[in-house]
Amino acid sequence: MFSYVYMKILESQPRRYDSGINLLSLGQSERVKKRLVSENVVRGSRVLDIGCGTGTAAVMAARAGAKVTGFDISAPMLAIARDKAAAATTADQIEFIEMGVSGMDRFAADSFDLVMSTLAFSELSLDEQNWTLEHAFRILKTGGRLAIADEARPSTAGKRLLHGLVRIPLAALTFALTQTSTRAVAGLPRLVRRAGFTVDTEERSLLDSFLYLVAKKEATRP
Amino acid sequence: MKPVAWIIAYLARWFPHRAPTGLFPLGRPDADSPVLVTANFTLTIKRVRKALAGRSVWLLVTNSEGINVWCAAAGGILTENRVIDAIKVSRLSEKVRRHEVILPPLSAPGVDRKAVRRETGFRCRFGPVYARDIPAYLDAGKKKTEAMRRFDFGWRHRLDMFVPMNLPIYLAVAVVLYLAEPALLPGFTALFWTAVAFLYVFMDWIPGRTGWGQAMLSGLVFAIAQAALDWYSLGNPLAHWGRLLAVLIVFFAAGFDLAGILSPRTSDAERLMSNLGFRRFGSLFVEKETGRVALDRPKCHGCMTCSDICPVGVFNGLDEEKKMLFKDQGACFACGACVKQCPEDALSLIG
Repeated sequence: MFSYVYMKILESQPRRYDSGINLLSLGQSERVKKRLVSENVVRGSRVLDIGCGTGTAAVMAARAGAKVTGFDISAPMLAIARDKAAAATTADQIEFIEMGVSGMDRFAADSFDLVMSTLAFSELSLDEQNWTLEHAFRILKTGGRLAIADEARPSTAGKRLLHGLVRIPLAALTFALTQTSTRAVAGLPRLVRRAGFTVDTEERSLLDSFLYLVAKKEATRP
Repeated sequence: MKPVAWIIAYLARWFPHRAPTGLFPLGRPDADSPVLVTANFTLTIKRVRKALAGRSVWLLVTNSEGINVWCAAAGGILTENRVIDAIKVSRLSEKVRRHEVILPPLSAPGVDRKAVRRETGFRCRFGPVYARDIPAYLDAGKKKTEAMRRFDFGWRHRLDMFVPMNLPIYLAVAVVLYLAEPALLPGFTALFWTAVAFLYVFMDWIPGRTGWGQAMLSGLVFAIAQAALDWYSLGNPLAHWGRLLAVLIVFFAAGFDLAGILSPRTSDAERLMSNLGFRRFGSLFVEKETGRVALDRPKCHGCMTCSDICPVGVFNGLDEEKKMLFKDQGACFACGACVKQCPEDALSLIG
């Protein structure tokens, strides 16, 4: 069972982040990134990775032949991402930028084929999520895709309860270790539609706690 | 905020507590009203709002992941990127004429003001440490008194920290005792809170270099007193050996990071973690340079930024060559604010 809670523990140890998160999520973190990249990245396309962290998905996308730009607000995470890109000899295919989502206004309109994001939206507050989606829509080419994999808030009370019970011990442990709270994205598909996208795929995990979403920019907003 | 939620947030202040981010009008601000920046820790926002009741200002809440200003800034979360995001995402430049924000000075260890200026065009100025001083600061034309620059480690701070900082430790033991040996719970409760109260009240007078050392010394004194009493009345100093052990353990636990929480001294907990080889422990602790601040004299241009933001008053004006003077270099506890903010990179932490 994947839990984003693990991630917060590991985030505090950037150097061990990748091995740790994969071990604890039973490989799910890597799998979801692989799936997102294999289903959405096209050779020769331009890809933006929002909140790229240690660059796992960005490097995968570069290996799949895309030209990737990744940004993250955390300098220590990006340092690892750069090392990883260099080790994978994809460094010339990837550009990493240290900035928050507000920096997305630097990208030209209609310039990306894919905007992707794994486990980053849940870090953003509501106003930041809306800003990010608005700019994702603007910078995507018509026909371009938005692909997001993130922890979600289960849609029914029963599932929320069940998920909560599973999550409490992990959340408590995370609190104890990192003093960081974790939050799931609530109502993300609705925000994505409101930003002008057409949602193509919306899949939730067993307990409804994980969201895989692919949306399309069908036309520029009137 | 409802009273119950507020009490929970207060008692659980060890833990992050996120509030919504963005730009909030307090009162009826207009294009010329000042913009005050803060973190999205629920308690912080509650206090800032209370302090600014009746004022018309803009409150810009950054995403510090629910952590207070000082911890988030020193822990590398509240950085320039968070301030830049808050300014741009809230479209602040469309709301105010004067492109200036007032930062809490405890954010100085994390926020690079030059980067904020470069990315947003907004100039950053450091206001008073405490929200309660903001009205007086604004009324004085954004001028600070010396007191407004200092973090107050006095009785008010101790009272504020007393219950929230110790309750988690108390509960952790109390729950186990309740399940295993409920008869011991009242005794433990009395001992724990007496020990904590003793340390909080007498900390300034207990000899010792570290907080932990002071606590251990106090525990030893209490244990010896108990043993002496037992010797006198029962003829056996170890008659209540369990109690002696409990006293030592409780003081040992209660004194852990006493210095880091209550006084302008390096945290014992941080030093221990560092010695144990932890580079970082969540947002509680980040390995940073320790030691004392030192000045590279030729580089200093006498801008006095360091003196403006030092929370403990290490600096003391300029000498005849317009270089910073130290008032009390020994008071420095390596928070890193001046090192981060010095525009000439003239300050560093050494030894």
